[in-house]
Amino acid sequence: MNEEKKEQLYKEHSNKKLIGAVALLGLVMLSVIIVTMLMFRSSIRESAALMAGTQGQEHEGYYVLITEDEDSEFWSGILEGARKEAESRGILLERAGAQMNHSYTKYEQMEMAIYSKVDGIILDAGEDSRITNLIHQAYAAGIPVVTVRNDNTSSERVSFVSFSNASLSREYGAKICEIAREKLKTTEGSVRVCVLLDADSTNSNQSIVLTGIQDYISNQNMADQVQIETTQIHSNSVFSTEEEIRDLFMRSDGRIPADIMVCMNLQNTTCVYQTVLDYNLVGKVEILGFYSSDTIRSALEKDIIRATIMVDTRQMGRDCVDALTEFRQSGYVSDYYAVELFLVTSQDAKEGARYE
Amino acid sequence: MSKHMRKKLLRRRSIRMKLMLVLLLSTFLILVVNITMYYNIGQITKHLDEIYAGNMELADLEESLELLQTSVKGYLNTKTTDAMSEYYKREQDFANNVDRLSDKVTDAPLLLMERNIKALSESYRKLTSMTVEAKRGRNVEKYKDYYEQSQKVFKYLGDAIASLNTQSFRFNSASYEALSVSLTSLERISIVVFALIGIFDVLIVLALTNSITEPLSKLSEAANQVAEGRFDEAGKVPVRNMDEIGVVTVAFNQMVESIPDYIDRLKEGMEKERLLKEKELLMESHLKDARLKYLQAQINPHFLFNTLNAGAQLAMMESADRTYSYVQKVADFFRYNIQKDNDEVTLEEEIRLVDTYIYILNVRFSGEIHFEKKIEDPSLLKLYLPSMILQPIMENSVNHGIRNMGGEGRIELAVYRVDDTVCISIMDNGIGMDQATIDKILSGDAASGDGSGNGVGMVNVMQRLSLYFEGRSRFEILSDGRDQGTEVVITIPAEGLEA
Repeated sequence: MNEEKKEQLYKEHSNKKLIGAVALLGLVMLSVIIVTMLMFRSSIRESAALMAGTQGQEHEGYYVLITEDEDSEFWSGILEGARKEAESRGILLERAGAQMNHSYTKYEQMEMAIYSKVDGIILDAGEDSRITNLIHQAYAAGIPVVTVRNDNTSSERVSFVSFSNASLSREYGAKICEIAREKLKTTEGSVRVCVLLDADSTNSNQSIVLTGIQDYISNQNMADQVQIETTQIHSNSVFSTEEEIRDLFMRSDGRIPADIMVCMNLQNTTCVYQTVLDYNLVGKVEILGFYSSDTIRSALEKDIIRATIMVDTRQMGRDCVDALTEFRQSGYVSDYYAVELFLVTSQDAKEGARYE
Repeated sequence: MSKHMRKKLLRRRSIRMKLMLVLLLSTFLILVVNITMYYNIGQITKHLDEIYAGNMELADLEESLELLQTSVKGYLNTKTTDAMSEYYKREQDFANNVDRLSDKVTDAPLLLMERNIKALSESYRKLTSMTVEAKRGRNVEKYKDYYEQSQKVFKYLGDAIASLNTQSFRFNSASYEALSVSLTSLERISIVVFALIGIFDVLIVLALTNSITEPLSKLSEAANQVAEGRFDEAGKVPVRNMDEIGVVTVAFNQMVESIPDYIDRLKEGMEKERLLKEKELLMESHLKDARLKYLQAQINPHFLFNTLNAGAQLAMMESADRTYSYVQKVADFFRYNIQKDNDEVTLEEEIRLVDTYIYILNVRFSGEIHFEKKIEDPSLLKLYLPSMILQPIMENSVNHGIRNMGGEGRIELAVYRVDDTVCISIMDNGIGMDQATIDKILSGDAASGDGSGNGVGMVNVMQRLSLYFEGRSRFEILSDGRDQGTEVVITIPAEGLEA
């Protein structure tokens, strides 16, 4: 056999296919291993980095929101609106001391914000000289302060965002008159209205509102039929609100404390609602609430609460950020941002109208 | 392809090379996997280290803050130069620690806390420095105020660091958990990967051993067939690779291919030898047969010959010339048989014997037989042929042709050349014979069994002619039927004659 034939024979019978298959298998395995390893590596990195809380989007500025009341839906709404607006402008907005182990008073939060050199402060202020001083300190440190809901008129705050107290007292007054007329149809004498005031509040809002309500009722020529009383409820000490409202009902010696209870904040509204329910006074005591939560919504639908005041809190939040940013950019900003409010009755709640 | 390159090719595909390749491949795979595994484990460990590095840094920061605070207090209390330098030292330490913190505003909670701590620290440093400055300037009111402020910031800062510690510990725990899960899954992945590699190795080794053992078993199968003599079935063993086995297989195939050729050649030689031997034996046996018959017929030719010689001399002494001649011829006739024990004789010698035979017969039967010879060319007489060929034919012609006929018997011997052959014709005018008899004689059935012949039979003549000329001679009997005479024609090749 000559050499050529040998070659030919070799070519015909070579197990190239087998070698090819083995090589292919090897390659596939190698790539599978490499891909698995790469995937595994990236997963380690991701999990490690994410868990470490060290990955996040960088922002151009840093605002804080300072309020006394941390949990209520009213302030949550404001925070949410403000945060969204800030985010869209590349600014980070947090509740002051949100990550801290302890909780701090409004004043402490103010101080921390100032010493932390934030870029702007949104503050639920109140007419309080300590706050005035702190706002001044912030102003001196070049940090603009926007007050929200409760103003501090004597300070250097750059703007105030809230709804109008006049509108609030008008809405309350109108509703009180409406309920009083209903009640007077069936009973003799006068209708007693109890306005719950915050004993620890340092601002003039509630007195303005109270005066507004009284004015409205006088204007309606119902001052004789409607007796307005006020009760001071402490809000600063822990759990005091609930205890005091319960006391209010217990002290009445079996009588109802008032025909109409007017609540000027969310906590009071919730507590009064629960107490009325507990003492089986539904229908006897009418409640005019402030703002809304899930509990209040269902209470409205069940007619336990007659009506509540609604405010577009997200809009308030947006306005706060807007005011701060505008001030930082131009050095000027409108002194007052008014936010609309409206009354939601149980009827409205049932129909699902005018309700966020 | 050059010889060198072919060698290289063979080496490349050798079994040793294959084994090396398999070993290298699997080792390489394991190496790659191991390196990747260790790298990943290293990464995880690094991350684990990083997790606690953050907490350690915070502890350092907290410690340096405490020391700074103490040094400030110390200075405010004593206002010594030592306290002053201590303060600067602590201040620098603290500043160094603070520098490491991030100052970016991000939505990552830990980074944001770091930023706040950094800002608070800077405020604190500023306040302490202002406090110390005021103290140095003996501005009591101011330094007390600054100190109070710095105390507040100190408290907030402590709280913030503690909070960050707590938060980062919370994150780190989750991170640690995730990493330990990763470690577990890495363990599982490695087991699976190593299992895969194991399977792959087994497959490769299977394929390799198969590629070695399969051709070997085919080769041994073919070898067994060859051993049993089944060359055709053995066929060609396919060569898969030009490895060591391939080389052996190619050699084996060559061997299997050449063995039948060799055997054929051997067979051919043996056959030739056998035929030669057979011919020799046959010739010998036929000659012996012929001689035996003469000996049987003529009892003792030597005795007879000597007797006849004595008779001839007696006749010569008595001046009986014709008797002398006759006895002499008879003696010649017998001498031919005794002397010519060689196989070969010339045609001339054969014809001379025939002459003697006819003379004897004519004396015996008073000149009844007319014998004529027609020799075309005297050189034809030099032709060799086996002995005792013409005489038996002549005897046949006499005994069966003309003996029993009435009238004058004639026998004509003609020798002539036709192309490459020489024809010897013996024609009589005797009773002739029919075709059946001719066929019978030619087929050898009418052997000398009839007993009437005293010499060698026709069959013997025919066989010896055929053997001598290796089948190239022809023996014909021609007769036109009863009383038409018979002609016997022997055709032999004109070999050894000049053309």
